[in-house]
Amino acid sequence: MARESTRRILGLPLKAAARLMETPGPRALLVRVAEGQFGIAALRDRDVPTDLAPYVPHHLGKEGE
Amino acid sequence: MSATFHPLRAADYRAAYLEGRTTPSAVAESLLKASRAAKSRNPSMSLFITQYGAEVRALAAASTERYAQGGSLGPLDGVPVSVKDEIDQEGYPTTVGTSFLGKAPALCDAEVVARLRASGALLCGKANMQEIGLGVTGINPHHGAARNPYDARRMTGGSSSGSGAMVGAGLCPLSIGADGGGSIRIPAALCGVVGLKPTFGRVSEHGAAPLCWSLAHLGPIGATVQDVATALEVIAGPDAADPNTLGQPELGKPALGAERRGVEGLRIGWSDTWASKAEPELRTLCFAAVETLVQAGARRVEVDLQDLDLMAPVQYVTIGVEMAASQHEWRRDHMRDYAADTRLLLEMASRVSGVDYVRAQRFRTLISQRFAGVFEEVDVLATPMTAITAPMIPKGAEKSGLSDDAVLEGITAFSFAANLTGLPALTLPVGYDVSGLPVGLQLMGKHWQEALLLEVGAVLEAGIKRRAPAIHFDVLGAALIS
Repeated sequence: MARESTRRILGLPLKAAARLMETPGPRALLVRVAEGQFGIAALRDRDVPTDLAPYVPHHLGKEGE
Repeated sequence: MSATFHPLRAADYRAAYLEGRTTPSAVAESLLKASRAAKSRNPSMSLFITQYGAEVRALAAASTERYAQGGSLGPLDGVPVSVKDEIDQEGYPTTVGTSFLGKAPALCDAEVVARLRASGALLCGKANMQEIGLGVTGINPHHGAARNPYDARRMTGGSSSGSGAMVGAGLCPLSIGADGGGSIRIPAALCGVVGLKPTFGRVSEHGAAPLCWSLAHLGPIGATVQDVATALEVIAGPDAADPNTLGQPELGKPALGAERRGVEGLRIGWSDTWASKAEPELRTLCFAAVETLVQAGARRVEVDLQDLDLMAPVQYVTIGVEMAASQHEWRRDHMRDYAADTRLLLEMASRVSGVDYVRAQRFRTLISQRFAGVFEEVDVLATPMTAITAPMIPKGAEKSGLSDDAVLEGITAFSFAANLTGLPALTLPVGYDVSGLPVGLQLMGKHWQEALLLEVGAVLEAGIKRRAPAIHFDVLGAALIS
């Protein structure tokens, strides 16, 4: 069901769905659907360990092993 | 089954020039003819966005003259190399796969293109790509859906779609792609060729479209491991214009051929849990490839990778927000000019909050820690490159693009980790599925250890029987002087 709705969001062809994204009401609904499908909603509910800082590419400037 | 297929390598072109069997100018004519043939197929292969015959001929003439004078510039002199159309090449537009960017030609080369030009490479055109690199199908409603050389009804993968397809189809032994979520490795795997996403900071991004700053990498797609190694030696190294590249360690010799040290004693990591995301046929072929390394003296180590489920949402938040930010100025005037699938993703990504983004970067640290732990136990981590082989292009998708999370999940199941962590990753073909479609293995390594991946890749490649694609152009053979 989720997969089908990504391809034809709310039963609409992709172009029509893209146009709907330009109006606030349908957009909010579509964004919620998409956030569920992409796992973003679940990510919000997940606890982050308190000692985790945002990612930094620490390897830059460091010699490899 | 037909005889083993030996794709043309950069070294084959160079040998033919040095032995006087052909010239870069003759190859340029052959290449341009093959490009026209690929374009005029039904459906069109849609490999290039722009190709200027006069420019290709001029570069070839200069290379021909160098060979005639005995002063060639090295292993890439006169070798056809294309560049993904998000990377600037002087005199060519940079459309980034859109319908509205690149209305004027680039005024100077990106650093990678400058290095290729200095090496004498026969820059043969700007390769087709997914619009702004935001997607992995290779379907571009503005410039055509690139077609898989193993089955033209199928996707090439993306976003470096033209690059993967044209190397697979034999038009050139090398192309430079860009990879923010698998975009070098995925089309390489689906089109049956080799692709390398180097360590983050190994190759200068200067002159490439800034689309997803923290995830983006430039790197080579090549016919063989050796081609990719040769290209990496040319394009890698510090560039003052890209601070991330400064301070990088030496590349190390991608020791191929006689200098190969083999895989004796290497610890090859494999995760059954992760590999189970792939279709059984792909998993079996990739595991068999790992076993050939074991037979050659390596040791397989089963690794326990935790928090695998975090990778996709962290990647989506990160690339989505960075892409939406990169397009912020354009979206106001050009929102309806993007393909429908791009538009949808940009709209969704622009609604992700700053808190979401920072939290995703914190989870990204956790993912990096997980992989650092794995690389204390292993030297190389092997996975399938994709969970599925090249999917069919659905009816109608050519016009509006495709947004299908089953396809997305199948193609990207193994690609995000290397972008999120900056670790280098190589893919090479290790077999073919029941439909004859290529199956790629991915080898990930520690930061800066591209040379080791190339060595292991070369050992594997030596034991793989390559199959010819259904659509193939013998550019060098057609240029030989009889």
